[in-house]
Amino acid sequence: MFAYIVKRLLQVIPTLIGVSILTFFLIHAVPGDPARMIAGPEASAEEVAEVREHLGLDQPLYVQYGKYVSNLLKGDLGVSLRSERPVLDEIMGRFPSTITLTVMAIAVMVVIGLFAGIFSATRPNSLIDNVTMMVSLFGISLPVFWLGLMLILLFSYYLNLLPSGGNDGFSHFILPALALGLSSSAILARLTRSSMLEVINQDFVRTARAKGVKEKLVVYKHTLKNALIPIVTIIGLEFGTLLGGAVLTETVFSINGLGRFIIQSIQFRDYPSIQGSILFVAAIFVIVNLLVDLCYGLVDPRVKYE
Amino acid sequence: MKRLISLTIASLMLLLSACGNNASSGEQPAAEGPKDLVVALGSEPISLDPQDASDGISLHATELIYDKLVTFDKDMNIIPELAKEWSMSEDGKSWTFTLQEGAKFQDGEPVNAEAVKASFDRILDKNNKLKRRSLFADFIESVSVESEYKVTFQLKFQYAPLLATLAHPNGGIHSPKNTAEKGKSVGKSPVGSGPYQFKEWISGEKLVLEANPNYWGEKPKVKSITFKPVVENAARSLMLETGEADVILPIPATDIDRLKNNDQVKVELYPSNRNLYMGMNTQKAPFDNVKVRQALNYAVDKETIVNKIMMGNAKPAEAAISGLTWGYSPVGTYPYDPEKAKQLLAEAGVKPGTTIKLWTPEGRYLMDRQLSEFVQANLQAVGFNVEFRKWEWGAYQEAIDDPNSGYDLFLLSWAVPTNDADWGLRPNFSTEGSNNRTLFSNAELDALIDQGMKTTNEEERKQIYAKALQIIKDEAPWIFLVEMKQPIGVRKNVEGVYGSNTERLILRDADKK
Repeated sequence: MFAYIVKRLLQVIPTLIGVSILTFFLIHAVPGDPARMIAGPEASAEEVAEVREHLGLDQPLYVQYGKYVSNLLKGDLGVSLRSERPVLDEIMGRFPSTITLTVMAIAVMVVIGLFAGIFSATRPNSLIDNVTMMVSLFGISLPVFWLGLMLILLFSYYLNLLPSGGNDGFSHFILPALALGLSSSAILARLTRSSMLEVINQDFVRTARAKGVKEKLVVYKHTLKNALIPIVTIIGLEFGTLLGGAVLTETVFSINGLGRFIIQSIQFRDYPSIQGSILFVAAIFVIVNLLVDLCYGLVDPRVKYE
Repeated sequence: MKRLISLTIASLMLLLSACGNNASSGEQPAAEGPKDLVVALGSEPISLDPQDASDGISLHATELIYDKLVTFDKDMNIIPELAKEWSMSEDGKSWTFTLQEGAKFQDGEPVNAEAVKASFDRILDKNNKLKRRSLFADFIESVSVESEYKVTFQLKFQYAPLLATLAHPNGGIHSPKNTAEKGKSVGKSPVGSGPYQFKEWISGEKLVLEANPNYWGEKPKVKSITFKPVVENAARSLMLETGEADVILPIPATDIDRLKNNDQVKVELYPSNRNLYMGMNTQKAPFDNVKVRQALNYAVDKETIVNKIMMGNAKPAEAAISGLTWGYSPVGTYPYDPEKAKQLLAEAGVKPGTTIKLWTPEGRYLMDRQLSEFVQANLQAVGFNVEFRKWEWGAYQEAIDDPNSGYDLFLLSWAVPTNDADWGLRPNFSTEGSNNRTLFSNAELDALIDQGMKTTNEEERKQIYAKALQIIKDEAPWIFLVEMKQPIGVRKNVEGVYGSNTERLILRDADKK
């Protein structure tokens, strides 16, 4: 087990090298000149050239990459072209908001999605099952930004219960976490249902019922535990996705998160910020994946780590 | 199971109601005394060093932190700020400013001639690599101290727009102590002598300025001003409606009518000296023929653009610079006359079905893509086959920097931060202009622009620009489109906020009841 974890952590290194090369050359291939963006559309060609030289963007690409990697090895992600702040500071300033939002959204997703799925699976093809699945189909189809705007309209505008945006405190995260969590809970509900239905008709469940085990125990201990693997997988994936991909939600709710930072950096061609934050998100994603793999062992003792 | 669900719901409700109390407590009437003002903008500042900032949002904030020698009043007249009076030498190349006595920077240092000299020496020094250097270095030779409160600017040549350039936000005066200590990072910890001083800046979240209790001029009326970046248009409007923001800029065109009907909110449209135009490469056939350039102007229906596309948030441009820019005279718009356009094209020998390429950014200016699509339709109607291409802003800027990248027509705008015709015309229309993307060249116009820059007699100068504007209209290197307006939303209990013609959000006199 320990050897497995060490091995997996070592595998992170080539992954991150690959990510760094890919992002570096991809973003440099995208048209657009950061020097022009910084100097503004009204600057003269000389001013733009001066900015370019100042930023070291006039050097050949391989030299720039070499510099980037050597700084990276020292733990230095560089300085943002836009704000001239260290990229690591920019990321760390936003990470708390992002992680709070992600954890809250996952909580909403698990509470609603898991129970709705179980609820449906234990009453297959009943009216309740059909209604739950219909609602979840809506949930999957609704764009998250629209749901976000509707929540703002209802809870901030009409009811004046919750703030419409910002990240000044816990209450500011409730609406965005609901918007994100409701959308993803729909997926989870459908997955839980189908996964549970696969298990619930198997022999050992019938045996459990036959020997008089209470229905609650049958559902939660025997069935759910055996249906958990795909559920854990999707939760892990969702976690990784939300870390850098909650852009729409962050934009609608004016949350100063990583996703919005990446988009803003791309729009501004802020190369160090794009590289740094993508690398950061990739590293977290890899770690979350590792945790998910370790969870498999907890859920299913048959899973062996070698 | 049921118990669990009801428990969950109950706790959620509890949570909601608990937070609800928090949220609404901000709405209750607060205690008497100065209040906090929240301003929601589309983005956040980049740098609070006025000498190193070229984006409008940074300058909204630096205008509060820094004083300049002179400034613009609401009607764009130049009025004293740190300089109480000034005089010009006979040859017009030397200007002496007498400073207010007793003004202090926010770090306690005195505002004197030494400080003004140090501030301008900083931007003039090439090694400092400050973004707005050329705005001043092009014409200032040196700055010297005459006495404690007298400072002299020696110019390279007679430069009539000197005062207007000094009134530009980029002319903010730094505390010399702060620049000496912090160097380039003054953009993160600015010290000026303005009515509001820097408190904190959380990147991507908010910038907070607080009232400067020792301000030498009229005391600030609100306790603090917070700038928040709110990218999403709908969210910005909502914040104004719920009172989470006191001032928002810009208001999306589609929300203006709705906000006007809200009795808690005021919506004002302020004129801006930004002109939206469609440039063409005047060195390239068929646009090297003036008849073709005029034909394009006759072909475009400016009135419909203003009324149906911009929904009234603009007006047809009547010259290459806007109506409130110093030196403007109305030379008139080209009337919408597709028949005349066809006739001119026929005279120029342009065959119907000629393919031209029209490029536009999307999301940069109000309704930019829609406007370009309309122009495309107008030009198709007079016989062109128009290939349309829309761009993301970053890539677009690079593409239109190179006249050979393939466009025939490109949509762009020009604003005049000095509010003086010189900066409206010289970069765009003089042969050597730094922004002459149309490659337009006309010897008579070059001479007029040069003359306008050096003539200090206001009447003579106005006449020169009137002639210049007429030549530009007749030669038509642009399709002249519209003058923009800026919609600013303010809560009813907020006063003293306005948008200047140079697109600055002026908050110095803001008061919140």
